Amino acid sequence: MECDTYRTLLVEKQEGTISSDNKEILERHLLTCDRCAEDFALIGASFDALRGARDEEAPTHYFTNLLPRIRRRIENQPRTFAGLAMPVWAQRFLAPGSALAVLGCIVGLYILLLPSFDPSKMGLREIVAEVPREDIDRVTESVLYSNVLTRTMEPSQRMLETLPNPAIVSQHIERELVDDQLKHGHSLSVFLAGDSPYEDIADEDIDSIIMKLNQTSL
Amino acid sequence: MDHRSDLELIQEFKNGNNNAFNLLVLRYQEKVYWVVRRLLPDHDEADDVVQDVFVKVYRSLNSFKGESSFYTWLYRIAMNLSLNEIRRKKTRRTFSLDDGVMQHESSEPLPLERMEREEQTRLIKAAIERLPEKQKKVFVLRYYEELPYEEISKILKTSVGGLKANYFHAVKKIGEFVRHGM
Repeated sequence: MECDTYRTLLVEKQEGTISSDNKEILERHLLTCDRCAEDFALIGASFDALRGARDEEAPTHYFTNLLPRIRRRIENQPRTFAGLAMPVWAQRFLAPGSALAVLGCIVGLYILLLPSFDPSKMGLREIVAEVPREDIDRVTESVLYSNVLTRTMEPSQRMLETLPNPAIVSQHIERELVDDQLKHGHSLSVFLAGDSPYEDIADEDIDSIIMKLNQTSL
Repeated sequence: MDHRSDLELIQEFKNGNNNAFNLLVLRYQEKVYWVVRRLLPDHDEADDVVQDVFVKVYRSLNSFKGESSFYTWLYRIAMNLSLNEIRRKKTRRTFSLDDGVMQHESSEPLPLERMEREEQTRLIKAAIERLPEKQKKVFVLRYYEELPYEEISKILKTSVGGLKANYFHAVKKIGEFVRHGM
């Protein structure tokens, strides 16, 4: 064995935790190795000194008073935030403030990342929600809308002319009107009549709405 | 004497029972104090660190996942905060052998035996204080806390073989320091 492998045994022998087999091996080695014998003496001197040193004592009543002092420190010690101390009053607002900040970030990101208004990526419901009510009314009263309801599906410039500001929004409404009519038949009129989901409205109600809208457009 | 386990108390604390934290403090305050005190011989400095240890525990307990035992986690915090304090002290002033040594203020001369004991104590403190950080931590946990190497290994996240080598060097250095009386 190399001397390095005896290190642990030297300590164990001085601690009195060495096994009898290892003790025998170590003692044979110590007879032939001056370096390990010197280390063994040093370790012995160390343990003697440690045993001879005065036992430290904690001040009287220290442990009796420690808990209240810790509690006080918890109350008074400012939390640090990025290495800066925070006053106690600020700590009280830390949790709700953090929650609001996170919420604000989420909303901010949503606003930043949301396309300003890209009707091509939106459904009819969302488009209608974005458009002023009076514009919706104009669309529903237009001849084009009437045409859609009667399934002519004819794109028309006339609808655009009915809007005070013929923006791209109205074009998409027109397209959606047509698409929706193609896909769902009467669902469009139901949608425009209110906020109820298509499925919740009875067929006779749908018919009456269509009739009403047709009358309005006429 | 409360028979609830550490984990049960931690769970109660997480459920809003602040008294569970108090019980943990009472259970471990002496152990933490002595670990810190061995590393920071001055009582006032040790006291300051001990309080910080429990403040940190209080603030972090909700995130304690129980991957290690509570006292392993606690010892790790105590070790780290103590060593932070030692580093902070080192940058503040140069080392002095008299640091942390109780001065005998009485005009009465000390009896010879007691003087020798005081001198021995002073040397041991100085020797431990001069150990490299790693050896110091291993030495305190092994010699004073009498923890098995396997437990120390969990606290310091070091192999048992490495710990044994560190302990050997620490004890040897203390012996050299004491022998040369410096």
